[in-house]
Amino acid sequence: MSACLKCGLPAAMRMEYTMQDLCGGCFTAQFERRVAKTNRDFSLLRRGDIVAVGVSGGKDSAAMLYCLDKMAKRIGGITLKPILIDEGIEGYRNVAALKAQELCSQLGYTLQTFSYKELFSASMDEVMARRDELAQEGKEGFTPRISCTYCGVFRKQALNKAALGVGANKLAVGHNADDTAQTFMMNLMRSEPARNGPMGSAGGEEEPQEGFARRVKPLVYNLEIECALFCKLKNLPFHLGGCPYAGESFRGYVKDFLNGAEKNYPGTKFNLLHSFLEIQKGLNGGKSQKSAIAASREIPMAQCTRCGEKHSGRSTGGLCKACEFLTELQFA
Amino acid sequence: MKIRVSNGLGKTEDEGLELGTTVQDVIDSRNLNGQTLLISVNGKIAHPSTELKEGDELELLGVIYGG
Ligand SMILES: [Zn+2]
Ligand SMILES: [Zn+2]
Repeated sequence: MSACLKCGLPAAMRMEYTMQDLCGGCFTAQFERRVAKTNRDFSLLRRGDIVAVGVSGGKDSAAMLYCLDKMAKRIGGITLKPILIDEGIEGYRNVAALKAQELCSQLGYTLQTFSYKELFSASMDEVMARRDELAQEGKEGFTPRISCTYCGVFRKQALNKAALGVGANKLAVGHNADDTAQTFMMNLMRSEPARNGPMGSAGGEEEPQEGFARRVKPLVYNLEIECALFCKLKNLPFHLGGCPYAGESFRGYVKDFLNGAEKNYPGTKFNLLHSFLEIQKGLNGGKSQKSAIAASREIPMAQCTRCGEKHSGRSTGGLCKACEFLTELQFA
Repeated sequence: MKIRVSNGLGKTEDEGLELGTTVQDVIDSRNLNGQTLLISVNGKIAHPSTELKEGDELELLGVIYGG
């Protein structure tokens, strides 16, 4: 029987990347310390914040809400508002949403749900059906895209609308170290290194940009498997199922690759995370993330001519990316 | 000895295991990636070096989805 490196009790897990055996108690304490360190390193939460917490029913957001709840109580003067984005994927999100509901009741919060259907007048199931119809018809000028391309754009906008809708100045999302390592790799593999700049950051700062809640990522120092372990050890309700559309994604490919790399070369994911943070500093001219975010605020924003959403102005016809997709798919 | 192994989707039985077989041995025999597994024995999170006993319920949940 292996013993916990910290306290000598029977170990419940082995962290290959540090070659440490830990018991459940020492592991969950370490997990929470890492969230606290993320808070210090990236100035995530401060007194007076109203934080919309994106929960999905999955493990990452469950662990995040638990840790933020504890941290908010410790710091004081912070209000957490759990929000759930219902993409409208039958058999998936509706099942996971029950877990999110259960988690919020357990921790004493009211969950507010926002759906693609009400925000964009189309559910993901409808988007996918329409995409296939239009592709089959061979409609001229129509480019079918993979599910995650549509969903990613809609989700980002939906989360921001929901956060502003509940009066939040910050939006906490459950991105973990795996997600960050994947995004970093994907940016490199697509030859889009500049995307690793300030917008991909983990942190928050004092004044959010007009029209946006500042996104904060309290779980960037914890691995995906650690989020699952944390939930299991803390008895937090979570859903482990996968999105039925996820099979189409490039992210899925990169994720499998990184999981294989982590098995054969433990520590790969954290090495990528550290590389990401260093390269980000380089991209930001040696400045910290916080000042780079402040500089990024000076980039002029455009306003969507259809829905009024603020956007970077890169899309066509004065439309935000979501409206561009909705128009392509003939929902608008 | 005989144990039951579940992956969250279904259960199978592993028979004829030698005394002293560990969770890691089962993971290796199934060619799984231990770095992505939530491992429990009889409902409790377990270390891969845990030696299995007759009738144990081993759960190997693949944590490969978003959340
Ligand atoms: Zn311990
Ligand atoms: Zn728009």
